[in-house]
Amino acid sequence: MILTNLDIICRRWLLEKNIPIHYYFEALTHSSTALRELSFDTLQIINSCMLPVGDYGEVNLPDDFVDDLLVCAPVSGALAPLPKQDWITPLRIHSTTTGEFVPYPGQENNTGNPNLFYGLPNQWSYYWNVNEYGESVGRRFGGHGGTAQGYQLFKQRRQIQMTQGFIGGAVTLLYISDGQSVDNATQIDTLAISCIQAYIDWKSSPNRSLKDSAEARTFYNEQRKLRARLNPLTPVDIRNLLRESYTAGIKN
Amino acid sequence: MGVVTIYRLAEQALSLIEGGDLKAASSLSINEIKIACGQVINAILKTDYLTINGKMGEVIPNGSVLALYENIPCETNNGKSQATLPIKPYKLPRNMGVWGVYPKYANDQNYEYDKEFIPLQMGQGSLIKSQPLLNDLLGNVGYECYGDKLYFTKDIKSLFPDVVLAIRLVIMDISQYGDYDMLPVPGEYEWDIITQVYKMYSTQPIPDKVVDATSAEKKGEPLNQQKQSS
Repeated sequence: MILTNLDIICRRWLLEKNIPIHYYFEALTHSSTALRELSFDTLQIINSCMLPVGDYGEVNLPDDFVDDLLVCAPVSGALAPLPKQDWITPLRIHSTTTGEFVPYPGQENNTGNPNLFYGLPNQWSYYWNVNEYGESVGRRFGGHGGTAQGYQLFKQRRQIQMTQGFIGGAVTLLYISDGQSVDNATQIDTLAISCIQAYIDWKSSPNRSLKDSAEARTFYNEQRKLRARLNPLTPVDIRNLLRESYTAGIKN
Repeated sequence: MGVVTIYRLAEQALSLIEGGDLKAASSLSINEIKIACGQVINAILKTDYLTINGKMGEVIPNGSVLALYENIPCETNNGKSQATLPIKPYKLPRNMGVWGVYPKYANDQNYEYDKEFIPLQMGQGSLIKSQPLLNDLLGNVGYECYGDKLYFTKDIKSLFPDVVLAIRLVIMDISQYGDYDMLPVPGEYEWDIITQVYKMYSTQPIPDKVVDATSAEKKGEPLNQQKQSS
């Protein structure tokens, strides 16, 4: 069993406690809360989706979005990661004729090169900058690094605002989920069963609001064990790290 | 010790109350005592659950009598399905008196005794609508119990027009047992039941062995309807 679901976890909890189905809903409620809390820092349920970019560069966030990890744009069959652009403001303007949101005209970044896409300026591959082997001959002076393309996250708008170059296209978003979508309820790591059940125990006890209660401590210990179990490091990995740190040296 | 039947319990209790065989002038009947036995059995079973099971930390009411009612109809009301309980069960924590509700979605199918509906407490049905992960109960059907009505979280009657329900209720429904059917009551309760029923009727006046048909107020009254005060 690679993944389990909340229904299995809750029914198992009922069986272990020797209590009937009348406690199922309470268990389900607490387990979904546990899933949300564990999603933030321990289980780290990471979802990805391709989202369309709207008319004014906006991207609507998924319902279970908590925090962004990566926004990528498809470029030549690969996904190019985009940086945040702090100069983008959350403000939008309405078109006086249509009433729709429109992008600010001339909204540009003055610090980056608008034509630079991760170190590959569009005009840079002119022949006089490249030798017969396709190698750059250098002499590029005064050019900016970085790119003016990018995005800014506006939770209050439940949107990501892209720079104008992406309008009409699509971006791929990698994000931390709150674990509250139906997909999450059916895709829980089996390692988390004990931890979620400890959370149900805590929240269904009279000490449900005491974070230093015995039940709470049990949950935090289970969470610690879960983190350890989720750690992918194996002895082979550790040995390999050590070996990678050595380099061949000249024998004196 | 023979099989516990309602008739046997009632007959024993009645013998004690009457001080012997049922008299012709007695105001009691065996049917009344049978009902009283049912009432006492329910009281004993519930007390037993709360004082023994509860103190041991047991939640499942083992030893209680569960009545199973099948073919309970469902109807649509206000966009949701509802059903009426055939009898009001015990008042137990978390409304466990309604022990289980099971659907039979079509006439040619079996009751789904392994897929019971999810019990909710009063008011939770509307509260969960705000919760994205819980509002569909992971695809299950939930129900709330208000009085003698069950209100479901989905309109199962519209989805399955032939749906009927089987309901298990924690209740000793005496009307479901014939005089000589074996009662699902442990033998150790027999004495308690008879004693309690006897206490219920201990103030009942014992009719005299001889009905005085000559007294003035009894004139014109058939002999077997005459009663004598103590």
